[in-house]
Amino acid sequence: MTQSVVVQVGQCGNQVGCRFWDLALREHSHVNKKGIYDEALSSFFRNVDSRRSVGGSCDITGGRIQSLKARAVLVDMEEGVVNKILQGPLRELFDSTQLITDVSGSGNNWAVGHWTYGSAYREQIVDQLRRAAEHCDCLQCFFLIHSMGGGTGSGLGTCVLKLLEEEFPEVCRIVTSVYPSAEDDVVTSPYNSVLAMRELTEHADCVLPVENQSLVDIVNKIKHMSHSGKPGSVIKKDSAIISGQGGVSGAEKPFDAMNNIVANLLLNITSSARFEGSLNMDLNEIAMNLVPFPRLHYLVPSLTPLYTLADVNIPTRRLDQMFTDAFSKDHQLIRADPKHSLYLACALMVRGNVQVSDLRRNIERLKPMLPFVSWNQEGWKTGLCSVPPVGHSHSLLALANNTCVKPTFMELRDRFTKLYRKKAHMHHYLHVDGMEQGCFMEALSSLSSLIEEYSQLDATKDRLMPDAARLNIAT
Amino acid sequence: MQREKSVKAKEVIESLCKVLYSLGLECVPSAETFRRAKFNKGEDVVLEFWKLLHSVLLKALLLECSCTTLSDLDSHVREALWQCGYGASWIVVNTAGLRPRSEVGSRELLVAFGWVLSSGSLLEALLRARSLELDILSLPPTVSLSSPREGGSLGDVDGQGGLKEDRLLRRLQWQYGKLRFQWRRLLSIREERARLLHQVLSSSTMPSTSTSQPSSDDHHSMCSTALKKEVERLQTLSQLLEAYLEWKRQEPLFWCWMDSVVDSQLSDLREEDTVENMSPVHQVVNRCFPYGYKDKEGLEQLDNMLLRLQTGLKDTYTRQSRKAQSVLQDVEELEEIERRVALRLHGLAESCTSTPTSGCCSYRPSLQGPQPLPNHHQSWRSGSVLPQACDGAVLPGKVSGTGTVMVQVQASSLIVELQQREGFLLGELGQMRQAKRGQIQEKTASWLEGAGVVLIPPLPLKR
Amino acid sequence: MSIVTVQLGQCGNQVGQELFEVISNDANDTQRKVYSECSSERFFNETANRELVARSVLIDMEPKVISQSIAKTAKSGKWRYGDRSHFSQKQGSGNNWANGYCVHGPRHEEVVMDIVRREVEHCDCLAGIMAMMSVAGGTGSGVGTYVTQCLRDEYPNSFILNHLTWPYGTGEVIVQNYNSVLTLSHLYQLSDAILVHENDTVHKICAQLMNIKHISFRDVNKVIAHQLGSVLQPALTGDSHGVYNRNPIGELMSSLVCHPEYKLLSVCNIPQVSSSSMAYSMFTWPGLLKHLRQMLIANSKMEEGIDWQVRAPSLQPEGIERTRSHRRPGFNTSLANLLILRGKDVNNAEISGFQHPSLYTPWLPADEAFSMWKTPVPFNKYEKSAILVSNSQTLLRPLDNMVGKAWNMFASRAYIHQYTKFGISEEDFLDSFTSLEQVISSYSQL
Repeated sequence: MTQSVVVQVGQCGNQVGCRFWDLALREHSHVNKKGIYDEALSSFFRNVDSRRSVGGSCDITGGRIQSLKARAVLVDMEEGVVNKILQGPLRELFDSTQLITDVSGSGNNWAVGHWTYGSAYREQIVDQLRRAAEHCDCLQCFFLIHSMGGGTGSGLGTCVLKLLEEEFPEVCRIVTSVYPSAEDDVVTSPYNSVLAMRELTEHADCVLPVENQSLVDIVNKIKHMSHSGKPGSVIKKDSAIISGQGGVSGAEKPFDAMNNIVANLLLNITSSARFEGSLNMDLNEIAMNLVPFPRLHYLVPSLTPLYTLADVNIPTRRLDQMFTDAFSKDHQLIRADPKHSLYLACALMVRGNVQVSDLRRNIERLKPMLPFVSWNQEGWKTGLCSVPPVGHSHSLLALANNTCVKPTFMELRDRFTKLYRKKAHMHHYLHVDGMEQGCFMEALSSLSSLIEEYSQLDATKDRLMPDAARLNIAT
Repeated sequence: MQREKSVKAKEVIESLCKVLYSLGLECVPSAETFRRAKFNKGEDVVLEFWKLLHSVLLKALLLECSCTTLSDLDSHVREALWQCGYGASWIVVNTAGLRPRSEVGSRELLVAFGWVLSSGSLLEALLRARSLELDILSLPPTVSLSSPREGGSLGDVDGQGGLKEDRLLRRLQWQYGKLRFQWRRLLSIREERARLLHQVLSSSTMPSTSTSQPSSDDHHSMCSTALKKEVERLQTLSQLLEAYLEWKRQEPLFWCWMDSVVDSQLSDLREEDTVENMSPVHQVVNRCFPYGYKDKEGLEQLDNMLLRLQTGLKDTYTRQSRKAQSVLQDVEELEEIERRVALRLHGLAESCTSTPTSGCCSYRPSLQGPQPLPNHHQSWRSGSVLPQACDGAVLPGKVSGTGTVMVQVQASSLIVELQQREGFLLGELGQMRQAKRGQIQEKTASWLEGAGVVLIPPLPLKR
Repeated sequence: MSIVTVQLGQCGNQVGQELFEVISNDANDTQRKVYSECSSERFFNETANRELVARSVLIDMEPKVISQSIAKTAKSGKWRYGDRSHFSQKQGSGNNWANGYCVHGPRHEEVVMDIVRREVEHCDCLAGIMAMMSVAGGTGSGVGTYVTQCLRDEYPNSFILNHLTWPYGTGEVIVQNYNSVLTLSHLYQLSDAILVHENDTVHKICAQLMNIKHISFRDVNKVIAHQLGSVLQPALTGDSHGVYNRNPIGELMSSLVCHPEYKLLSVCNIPQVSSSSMAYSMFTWPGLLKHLRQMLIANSKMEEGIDWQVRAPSLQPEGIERTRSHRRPGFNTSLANLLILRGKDVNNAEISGFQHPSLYTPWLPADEAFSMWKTPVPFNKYEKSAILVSNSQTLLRPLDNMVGKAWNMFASRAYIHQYTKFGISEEDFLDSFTSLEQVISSYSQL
């Protein structure tokens, strides 16, 4: 069994990470009733005997759970969020050695995060990463969680990404990036995002973009539905999608509902690697199947069921509805409409009691409605994991490598150029060591060429592409 | 005297049982059961014989059947016996319907068994199959390659261009591939044999080392179990062969005993009624060839049967003749009849096998009688000019008359004549058969006392 | 003689497990001692305390499937896998053929070959090796190809059969066509015969013949195992003197794949029904064989929906070549067929329909191209069953599709970077494409 390490950077990264650990614990405790430290648990947790000295771990699976420690590295350049975690119910999960904090923060400045803190904490970060890796029997994947708008998440986060590539070139790097809304209160967020984009494009294996605005929309819609009081539209109390109830932490905090959604995304993406199923989908298969060209590795996630209604629908219809929903606009975690853009590839990760025939039926049903690139008309990757999420009979995570990410990037570019034309706030960046004017230009052209690549593919969408001429055999 | 005989009979039956058992038959009754069957005693004996017949027929006919109930068994045995030509009344539906199973006595079954055993070479066939099963090492892998010439059109490539050559090439490649696979199969068998030989050798030369080395773990034990299996197989095989040898030594005695069984069966039959008062021989003949007289195959079989009948009769006769000098005249007469029958049958069979188109040489002997045949062939060969000479004018005095005349006879008239002759011969054959049966029965009844020989015509099993 | 099975990857291990299940059940069902002994010698090793141990090697790059298989068989109690005959790693090959072939394969060669060698040495006589795998994923296809290569080096004179499961046309793995092309082109050089099961056809069989509503991979694997078992269980060959064929793989190959350009075998069987309707079904040999023959010539893998319009072409008189225009549309030309009949009254079955020269390519005479095995022992609860192993044009269309899709993808160089990362270059791809185009051309000219 393989293990993964979560690296959560910045305020947003740590908040999402915190929700992830909470829900992961809840999921495992639901499946693992006996309190045995099993293979599934080992993928994200260490089992440590606290009575023994530090490092006296009992990581061998099959024994009793002693004290679980998260395979995580927490990085933030201010203390607030991390301290809150350490005072909260999840404090047992983390050692003080897993934390890297500072007091002054990055001041929403990518350059400070990336260069100043990047070089100052380089040794410490690498140490922590190595230690986490050493605790793993077979390290398969790093999950990096960060936001794009702020200074620490985007700046230091992308610096960590580069370190990961240097130190662990074999290990897969899956990045969850939270993109700022247009009405973001951080003025410099376009700069930070575009500068971070370049690093993501160059150093990540996969990026799962999540937009703040989408999360807000989803949460609002759910709240609206539960308050409208229509009969038969009551949200299930034990649904883990947005509600943290039943978890270790107590009262709901403002962003918890949104963060829960992202945490669920991570839970589902790793489910097949943690639990057994009739069609396993390992983490390294994600990039292999979904990334046809190295730079085009932005995978649009969508989760269903999101708006779980406790009504009495016919089961198969509900199952088929779940597949339909995964391609609808309001289930995407970025504001985009994949159905009207071009699919390069698509993965369906199904959990629960779903058979291959259900999967096939739905693929056959949906295929005609979805435009796929000419050379990948059958670009479907599927995984079947037999353990459903807590409170559901089944769930689906769709990852689409789709040109619908392009508008998000273009919007970002527009906001960047608006600021950049005025040279607004440039000096905050340029006086940081290692930061030059050229960095902005390079980041911008990197983003532009990415957009261009998507555009070229998009252009083939409605054209009938002839098959490539086959090799002839002289007879 | 009588007692000694029965002891011997018991022995020989036991040896038969042993052979049957070693052949892998499942239900072999004891010698005592045989004895009781002779006297038609016991319900259990009946059942045992049903089972025995069933398992024998199953093997002999390579049938597949999973009958478990007695009634299934019963109908299956009847069908199988019918299929191989046995014609006793209890296996067929007659006017009174099928005789219920309960009315079939154990002796009738015993007779049927004897008949099956005597027909063809049942034991030998079973023995062959069984020994192939046991002696896997000496089983040659079969290599069947049709030579490329057989393919007809492919063989003669008379320069019709590349397409045919291409096909021929592909065909050759195929054959080459096949040869390669055959070679690999042979190789693997060789390897297996070598490995076993090696094991035998090493275990026989170093018995002490192998026991003192427990380190040679499970692999060694695995090998030795295989060896053990092989040895077991060989032992069973040699047991089987020994049993068969023993049986062969004593076989005549068994048939003597069988005769006594048939005798008592016959005498019972005579007592019972007159409608069915046909000897088993008669019945068999009738059953066996309900439509076959015109067939070549039927004729051959009949011929075969008669010949065996003759030789058997001759044996008995010569034995008996020492005792009964007085009937010498009769014997000579009989021999004369036999000779004539044999000649005619021989001729008949010959004429049936040849077709009119195959040339006059092949049917000439049938009209000439057998004696001139070799002569004629010689003269044909030695004087190669002869046929040419014959074409133009007959050279009287130089060539044997009949031969030359026949050369010039039209084929069609020959066929007509042959058919007439065939009809005539058939009629004659029927008469003779009838007459001869009477004679045989008379003589056997009068000459042979008690444990003498009654002849049951052996018929080959139909496979 | 014995067959050593090498199960590779998730699919190979799952199908392999079902195969041994079918075989052990079948051998247990029958009362024929010779048959069941022959079957167990073929597939199982009997230990001193009469346990049946499968002659099988389990290989995967991740542990879940193998531990599942071992646990499942341990539960059944009828047979088990060898204690030391499995090998797994922690991390899968990630659907990447190059990762399996260039990295995992060489890295674990020594350990894997040791296990195989041990298993082969347990056989008194090795009839052949069967490697079971899928072509879609990374481990089965990549490591499987590498292991086959090692087997060929180690056992140059043994029969090596590759059993391949072809993925669904869509939806399993996106790079499946690349992986398939690389696997097939390599195996075509290494293996003696390649027996193919397509998930799509088996799925259809499950849906239409067995009436399974929610088809799981287990159902699909069971059908594959049933068909495979019916080929490999003991049977009497034409010239075997009433003794079961000793080397099924060798005999299968000598009757079907003697030509090096034609190595692709497919299987179809009849009847195939759900266990519930088996009790109500009656089958006759003429009926079964009539259907099976039409399934062969109309290229249908199921008895349902056979196109009865397809007829064998009338043979051209000598001298006139059969050309494309003479061919009947939809007619499936065979190179060679092997018919296996199992069950009641096999000796009465009339098989001349399969011996007609019009069914076969003109360069191989029908008596050479057709062979038959039979046994009165019924297989796997079917009173009668007929199985046809065919070296014919059946796989031409799926193969052509597969190569076509992969070529399309290759033309835009999509996903190539994932392979070059592990040392498979564009030239390697081109070589593979060339060799498969050659196969396609050979088969289409039959």
